[in-house]
Amino acid sequence: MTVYDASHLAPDSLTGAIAAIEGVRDAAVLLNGPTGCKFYHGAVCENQLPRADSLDPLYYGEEFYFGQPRVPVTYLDDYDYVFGATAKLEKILPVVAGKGHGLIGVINSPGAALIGDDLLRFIDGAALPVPCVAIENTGFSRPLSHGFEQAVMAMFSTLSPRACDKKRRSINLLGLSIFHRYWEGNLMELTRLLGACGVGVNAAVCAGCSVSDLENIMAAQVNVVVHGEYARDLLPFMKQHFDMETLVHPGGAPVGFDATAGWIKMVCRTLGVSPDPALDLIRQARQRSHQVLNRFNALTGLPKGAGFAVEADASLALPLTTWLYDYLGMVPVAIRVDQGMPEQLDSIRAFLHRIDCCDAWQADMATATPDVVLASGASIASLRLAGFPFVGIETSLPSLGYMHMIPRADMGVEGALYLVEQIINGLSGYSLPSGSVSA
Amino acid sequence: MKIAIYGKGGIGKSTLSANISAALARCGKKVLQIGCDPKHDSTRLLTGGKPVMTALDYMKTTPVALQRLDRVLHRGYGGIVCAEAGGPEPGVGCAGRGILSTFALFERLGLDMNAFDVVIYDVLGDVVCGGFAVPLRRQFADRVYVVTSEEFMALYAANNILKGVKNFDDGGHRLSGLILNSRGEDEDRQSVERFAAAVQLPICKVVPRSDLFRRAERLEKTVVEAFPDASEARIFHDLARDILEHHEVHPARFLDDVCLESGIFNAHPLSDERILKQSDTRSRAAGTFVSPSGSSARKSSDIDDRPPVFLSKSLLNREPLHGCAFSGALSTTTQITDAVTVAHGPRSCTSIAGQAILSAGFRLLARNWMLLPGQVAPAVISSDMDESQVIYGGSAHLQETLERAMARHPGVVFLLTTCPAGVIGDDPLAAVREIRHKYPSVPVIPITSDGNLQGDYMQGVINACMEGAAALIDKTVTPEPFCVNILGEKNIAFNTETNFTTMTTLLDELGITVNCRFVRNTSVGRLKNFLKASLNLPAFTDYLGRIMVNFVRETLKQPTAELPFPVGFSETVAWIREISGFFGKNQEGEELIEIHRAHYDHMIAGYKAALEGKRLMIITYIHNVDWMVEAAFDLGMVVAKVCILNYSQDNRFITRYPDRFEVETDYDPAKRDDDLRRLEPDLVLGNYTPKNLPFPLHVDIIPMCPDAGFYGGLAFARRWATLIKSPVVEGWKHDGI
Repeated sequence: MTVYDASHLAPDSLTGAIAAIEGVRDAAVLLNGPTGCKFYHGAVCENQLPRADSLDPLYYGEEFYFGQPRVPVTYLDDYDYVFGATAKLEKILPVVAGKGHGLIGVINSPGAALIGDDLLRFIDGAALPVPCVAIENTGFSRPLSHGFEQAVMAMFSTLSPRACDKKRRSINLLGLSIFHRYWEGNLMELTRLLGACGVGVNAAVCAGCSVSDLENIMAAQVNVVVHGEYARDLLPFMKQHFDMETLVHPGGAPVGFDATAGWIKMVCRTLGVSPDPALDLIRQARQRSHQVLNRFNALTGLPKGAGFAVEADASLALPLTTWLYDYLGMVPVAIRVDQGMPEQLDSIRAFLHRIDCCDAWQADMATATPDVVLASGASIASLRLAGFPFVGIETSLPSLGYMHMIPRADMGVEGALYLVEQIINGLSGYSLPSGSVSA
Repeated sequence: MKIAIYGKGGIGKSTLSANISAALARCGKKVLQIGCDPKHDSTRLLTGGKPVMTALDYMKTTPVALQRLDRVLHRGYGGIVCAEAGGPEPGVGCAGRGILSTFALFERLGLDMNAFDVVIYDVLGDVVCGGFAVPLRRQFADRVYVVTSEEFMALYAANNILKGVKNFDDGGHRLSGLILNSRGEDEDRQSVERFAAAVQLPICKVVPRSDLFRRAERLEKTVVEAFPDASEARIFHDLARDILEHHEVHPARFLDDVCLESGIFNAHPLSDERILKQSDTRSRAAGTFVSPSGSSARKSSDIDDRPPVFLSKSLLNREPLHGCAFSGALSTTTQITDAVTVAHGPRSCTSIAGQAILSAGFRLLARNWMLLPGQVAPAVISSDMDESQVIYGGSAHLQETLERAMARHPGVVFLLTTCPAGVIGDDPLAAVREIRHKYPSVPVIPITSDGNLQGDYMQGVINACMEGAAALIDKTVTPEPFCVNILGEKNIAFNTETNFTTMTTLLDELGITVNCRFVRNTSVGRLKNFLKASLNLPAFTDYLGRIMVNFVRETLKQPTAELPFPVGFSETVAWIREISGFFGKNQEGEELIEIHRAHYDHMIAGYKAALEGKRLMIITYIHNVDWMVEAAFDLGMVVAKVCILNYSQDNRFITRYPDRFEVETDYDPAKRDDDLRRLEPDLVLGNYTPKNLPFPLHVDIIPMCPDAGFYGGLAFARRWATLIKSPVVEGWKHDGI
């Protein structure tokens, strides 16, 4: 009965909606639901985007907070499901509004969504001095990205950003969430590369931005997508509501040298600026990488021929798979993709077909016995139970808990170097098949 | 006999139900009538118009510990016992959920339906959601009457009710027939007759329109009581006699909407295929039901054998619930290595509950390089309830999910339900019955959870242990010597495995083996052989630990040790003496103690120089601090004050040192600064690092679950002796933004 499958523990649209609102630095989620839905989200949001100075529960002992600084909750119980949560909602709204947030997002838990409390009525009745978003139903078992996008659009609808003067050479980043493992490092890295070309980031929507960033969303010349899955519905929404064009790189997220170069060129071409400064940084990094790989490969023959597995959304799986194959000579043995834009999903399948690795598509990682696994901490840990050695590189949550003091990236130049570093250090202890070792 | 009376709202069900109850009472029958309508007026004519306390109002206002059945049961005409579910005001909350809660309350308080000759459920309007379908579930109604009038909407509702009955009719037919509550002589009864013929149900009785009902209502009585000799009263006496004497039941058939309109009201001929028949031909005698554990229904005579109800502290005291029963149950069932747990609900529930399990597993991996399958890859399958299942019910999909669980060839399958499954009133037992029928060799055990509708995290742990794991215990197994079980280890603590290793090492020294960990990293086989142990050792005697001990003693009739896993020297000495004494190994026990005493004394001497005379203050959620207080005293430290914070998991503070330090339970953190200024401790211990202290102080963390064994307290002495030499305020603390 040995089964190593962490997929049933993957978060859904409830988490996505919470991550979107909590990803705005001065916004706060108010959860209408039981405490069971609160504790994890309170912890993971604080972990991914810290705001509190203390984690001592005694500082958050007031009603609705249950010892955590984030995600206050109406702590629904059996009686509230029968009689409604009117009294608690009327009481909690002013409490949360009094904390000085720039926006409050009231979100129903899946159970609360069924009893039909009229959230807008409570919000209107409370006459709060702060904008309030009501999300009565985040969806049941929908993808995390669905909840994320719904919440982003709800925030924009409530804030109603107005047209303003465009900032020259500025973009908004769409489709990046604090629920992405390395969102902060990736944001820093993309900002650095774009900045080298004279392009500024106006707002990273719901990934560490502020409410005023969202209100000034139209100041950017164009939107650029990082993870396509998190921006599918946003694309037409941004066009319809703000008349803004949105760029999507067909190669997925800027992961690996080639996809990063392609992504930067796409942005620079649209804005009419030269990508050369960023391409120069990429060139320098490739030289550094070559130097290290050259020595490593000379002694081990690796990483060429090492089998790898990826478990990710299509926007990440596509550039990872192509880059690890084309650049490092590694071979995909299991590519497990949960969701993605159809064209990116097609690209992955076509690529696997082209390199004669069709069997890798959605293959079981334990059976495929890869040498390198790029997946969530949960998948890496569960795969360890299978007993074979492999290099585990976390690319999504849940994390095994390692805390990076210097924010890590898996995108851009820094991300490419980090992944190479992880792979060669992980593989360095590997022994080649007997008979193939040269003196 | 348990009868559900359904029909469109406002059609007169309550009047009919009350009159039927009254007629049955006049026959000398013991009757219980339960009104399942938020309007709570079903039994008004039986109680003389007296307003009664509804079950839901009672639940809302009375802590569980104080709840009594007699407060929601009211004596009415002819000794009829009356109950009203009650419910929310129109437009808020979920009345269907209220019906579920009411029946759960009755069950918890021990209402024995079988003690009555007849139970009548008077159910609101239509089968609009799972909650209102509760009386249709096999445990409750074994006969169903549908009240209708000649009007289209009444027949439309009746047809819908038949659909509902069919959905719950998997184990035997229950429809007795229609009751026509006529709107008057001028109405066209043919539509009702055509409908009855089409769905092949008898019209059991026609109740004519009569002013006598209105007159009786003015007197706040039934016609049977107010006008016992009237012909209208005789109708109910006839109906009562029919109910008692004729037990014929019919399969549920219903019409599609087109057929209902054209065939019944426009009198177009009906084709057979438009009558959607009961397809299940496996007909059992109506009235039998299968309990969750697979045993037959209890008879009234064995009601005294009801297992005791074990409630969590929060549920008992009506405190805010911390976490949910679903999560607590999942953290327990996933500890059984050859079990698969099916989580019926949206993905988010399994994800959120799973993170608590993974978190402990990841810590264990990072700190001890130890991989526990149940903690890093819990065997759980989510039914991934989606929008359509929420609206239309998720039983079919649950069935598929149970099939997927079976494909893993598990030793047992547990079924847990989430809040959404509980709110919509899904009946998971129907799916369980099906899967048991198909896979008779694999136990399928549903565990009461419904997210947090059945309680908090701790309640889920309790239910999973007692309804889940305990259901696997083979009662024929007999005890073997020198064999113990361990009870109530904490599955989300980080040191559970190291503590287990420490304790098994001590037990090994005494020649005692561990049989089963209840429930931690165990298997179906070990649970089956639970009774092999001749003694059960509680890991903790906090609230949960005490419940576990009571369960093993009262329900399983097995002996348990008095003392929990010990922390610190004295507790370990006492524990070894208790265990070795039980097994007649006193000498081995004393020898073991002496070996460790020498080592303990040597270590104390090493740390004493640094710590002697230092003042300690403790602010903590944990309710047993003796392990660290003992170490402090042995080191010559002064314990200035122990402050116990309110904690959802425990409520009993005890100490062996009642006069040696100041203690305050249910401590108000606002007092902290004054206490610190007054007591001037050298070291403050807590479960989290405090902020904004009134003056610089050494602070340190103590775990919620300390390390067990002789050196559990001393382990901290080593740290304190080092820590006390460090700067009082670290440099980085000056850099806060």
